[in-house]
Amino acid sequence: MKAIISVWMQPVFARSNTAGLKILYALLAVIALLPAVLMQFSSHNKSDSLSFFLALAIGTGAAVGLLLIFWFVMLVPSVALQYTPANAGLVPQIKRQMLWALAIPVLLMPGIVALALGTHLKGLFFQSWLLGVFAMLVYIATLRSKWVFILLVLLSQLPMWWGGPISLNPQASWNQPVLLLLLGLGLTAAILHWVFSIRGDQHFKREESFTMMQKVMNGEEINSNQYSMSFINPYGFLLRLCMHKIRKTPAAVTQLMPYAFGAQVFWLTSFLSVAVMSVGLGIYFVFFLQHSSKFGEEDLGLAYAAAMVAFLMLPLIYVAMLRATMYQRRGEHSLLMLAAALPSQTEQTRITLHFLLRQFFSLWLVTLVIVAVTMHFSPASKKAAEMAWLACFCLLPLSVMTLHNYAAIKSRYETALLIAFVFPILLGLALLGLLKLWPALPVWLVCSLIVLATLPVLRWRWQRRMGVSAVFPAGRAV
Amino acid sequence: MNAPASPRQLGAEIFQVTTGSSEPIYRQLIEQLRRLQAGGQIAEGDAMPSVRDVASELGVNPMTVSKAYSMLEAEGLLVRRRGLGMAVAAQASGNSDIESRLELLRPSLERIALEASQLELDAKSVITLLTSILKGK
Amino acid sequence: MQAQLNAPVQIQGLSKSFSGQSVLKNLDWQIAPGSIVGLLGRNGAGKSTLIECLLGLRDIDGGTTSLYGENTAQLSADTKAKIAYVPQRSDLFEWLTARQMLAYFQQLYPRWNEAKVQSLMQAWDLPFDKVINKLSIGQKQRLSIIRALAHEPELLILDEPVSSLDPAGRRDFLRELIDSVIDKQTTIVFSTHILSDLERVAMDVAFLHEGHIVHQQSLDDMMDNTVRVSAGYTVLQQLQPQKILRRFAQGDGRLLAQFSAEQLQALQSRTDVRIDKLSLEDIFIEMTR
Repeated sequence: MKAIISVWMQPVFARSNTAGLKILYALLAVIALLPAVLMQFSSHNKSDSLSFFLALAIGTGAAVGLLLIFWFVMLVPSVALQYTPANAGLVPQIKRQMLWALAIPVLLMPGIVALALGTHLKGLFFQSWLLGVFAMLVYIATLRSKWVFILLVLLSQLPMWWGGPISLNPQASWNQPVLLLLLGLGLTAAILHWVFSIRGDQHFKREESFTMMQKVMNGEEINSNQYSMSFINPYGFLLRLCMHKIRKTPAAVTQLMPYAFGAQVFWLTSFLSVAVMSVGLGIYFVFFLQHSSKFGEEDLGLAYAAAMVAFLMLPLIYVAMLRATMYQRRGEHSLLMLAAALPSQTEQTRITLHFLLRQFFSLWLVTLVIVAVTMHFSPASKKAAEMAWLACFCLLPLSVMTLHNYAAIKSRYETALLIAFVFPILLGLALLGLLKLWPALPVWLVCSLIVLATLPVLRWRWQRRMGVSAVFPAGRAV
Repeated sequence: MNAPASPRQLGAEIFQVTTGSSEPIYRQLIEQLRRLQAGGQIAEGDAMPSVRDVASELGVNPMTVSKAYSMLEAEGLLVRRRGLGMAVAAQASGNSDIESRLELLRPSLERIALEASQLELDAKSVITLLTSILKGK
Repeated sequence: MQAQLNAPVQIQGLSKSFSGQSVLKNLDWQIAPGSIVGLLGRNGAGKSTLIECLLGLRDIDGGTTSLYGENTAQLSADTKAKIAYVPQRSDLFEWLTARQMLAYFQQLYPRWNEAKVQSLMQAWDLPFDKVINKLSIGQKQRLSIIRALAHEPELLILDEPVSSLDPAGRRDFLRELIDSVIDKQTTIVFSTHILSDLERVAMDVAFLHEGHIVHQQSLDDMMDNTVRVSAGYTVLQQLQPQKILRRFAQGDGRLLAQFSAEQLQALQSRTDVRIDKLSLEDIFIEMTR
């Protein structure tokens, strides 16, 4: 049992060693409090303490659930990494213990979730348990083969193809609790056995690609041919174009500077990835629209909302990732500072900051346009459209974050993820409250106020940055 | 001591340097050339390899080699020929071979003398021991 | 050392501290043109920090640094064209191929010796069209060095440039330095732990210890004249060396000092002292204790 617990603690140790712990706690606290806060806003004339605590409980439950999911997501690859043939050969019991370490959460967690949602499921405990078990097993199965992802996507479409009512016939012969329980246990045993019967170093290779994926997300490695969709990566193309231009007019050489920061600082890169995915999803949705009668108006609205959220997240993620990226590129930046054809350090700082600001604004404007177009074509109400506009403009103050004092960054874990996430949400909530108090306030006025408030702050920060001789390479003042 | 008849071009491989010793490299080069000359492996008129070649072959700074050459020239072991680089100089007489070879032994003998005085041994006993060792060879 | 106008490197009173701890304290350093200086120091002594400060890549707390007479904060294009820097991290521009990276840098410098780049890439067996990320670390270091040599600098600053190369690779690198760079009176500053390389190539060594350049001297002179004297404390007191490199504490019967040739001979004949000549490694350990 001790060994199993130590296997469970692996992801916890791994995570507690990074500096992201504070962010995690803060995020969880926000999620836990959110339902209670929303409830207060929506019905503040009915402040029932019981329902308040209920909302709090739901929020906390959601936060804990999220934590557990996160933990499970990290547990599986860490188990796979430990299970290399070398380790298994050394300690034969390891395999069994690892299998148990996986089997217990797989069987228990869906059970707990099903219990918690007992009232909603109206006696469909075992079915939902089975579904949960199956979902987790599919995730584990992707350890062995990437193609299981495709199976996952296809399976998620099953409800659509079902056609009939979602509730299952309780009288059906196969719908017996005992049978379902046995099915769940059997599936667990079978799939775990299959995943761990892999030979050679394939688990290890899988972990390598997982780490690579994490690195891409952290901004450490780009252009690994497995995970970057390089055919839509405009960086290489832009670089070639720029070099060609420079050869013709050498005086424009300062335009080469941003390419030293890697592909991620170009808004086009992240935008194109999301755009392609959205287009793909859009086509898929349109295609299935005709086949499923269950796809009603609300689902369509939901689909639009999902697409928009994806685009709205872009400026946020860009700004958060920017800090870490500029810090990691400080070596490259050092070489640029010493390049003969490039101007002085102060001038280079100015050019770089200008570039970053431009990138953010381009991304933001594109997002704005997309949201506007989507709202125009969607069947959403005026209220929803206004909310969308508000959400967009709440992202505008994030531009201030691009003018951070890069010289003072101490480590690459100083991402601004928390601020980038929380600030727009808080601003949005505050403005929502404002609109609740004065419903007559037009949304466009609020948006313009945001713009008017952001501009002076931008200006002030710009002056601050240009006041010192150089802000780059990042971390220089430490 | 069979000296070859005609002068030849010496290659850079006549030198070898060791790092991590207490002797700087230029001194190692000087010592080696002295030994070669005393041992008769090089003769008068042999052309020395160029500074660049030696530096490149051994992986050392050419200025170090050049310094060694200059000091050897000052000692009289090498002579600079106009347009042709350095060459081994003529030696005064046959006896000087013995003299120069004895000189090479001097550092070792000085160490023995130091050790002997530290062990408080008198010169006579040390010389007796040395003679018996030499005779035994 | 008298201050020279437009010396390649001139540092006066440099101070730099990290989160309260002082790493460089009022450091003075000067490098004459054409010299080849090895910068030695323990791990964490601040060699990389010193190099970064001298190139203007770090904010300093006090003092002045100048390269070719110009303040490092405002270097002119001409001066920058004369300087090349090989940083300690060789994994820069990892997402580009070697060809792309070199083409990029070609645009950043007025002089570029493409022929040399080609010959070195071939001689060192480096692939042009492989992403730098996929190269071994030795290959990445060699590529860094090629990038630095390509624009024919007059001042070459190398921060542990060959730490990941195998002995053959280091020998090749030294040969390349010797063949193409030393001839042209290039000033070279390199920090390295690998003393054997330093012994072969350096003309001068500078020791960085406790935030100062405690000693700088021609390598040959230092190795010729430096001895460790072991004797009783009173005997040590009476000696008058030309330069004391490191005095030991009372009770410790050793002294690291330099004597003239006559003094050395006199000392060697004495029985109450023991004279040891030291290798560079021993001197390094004694100097940076």
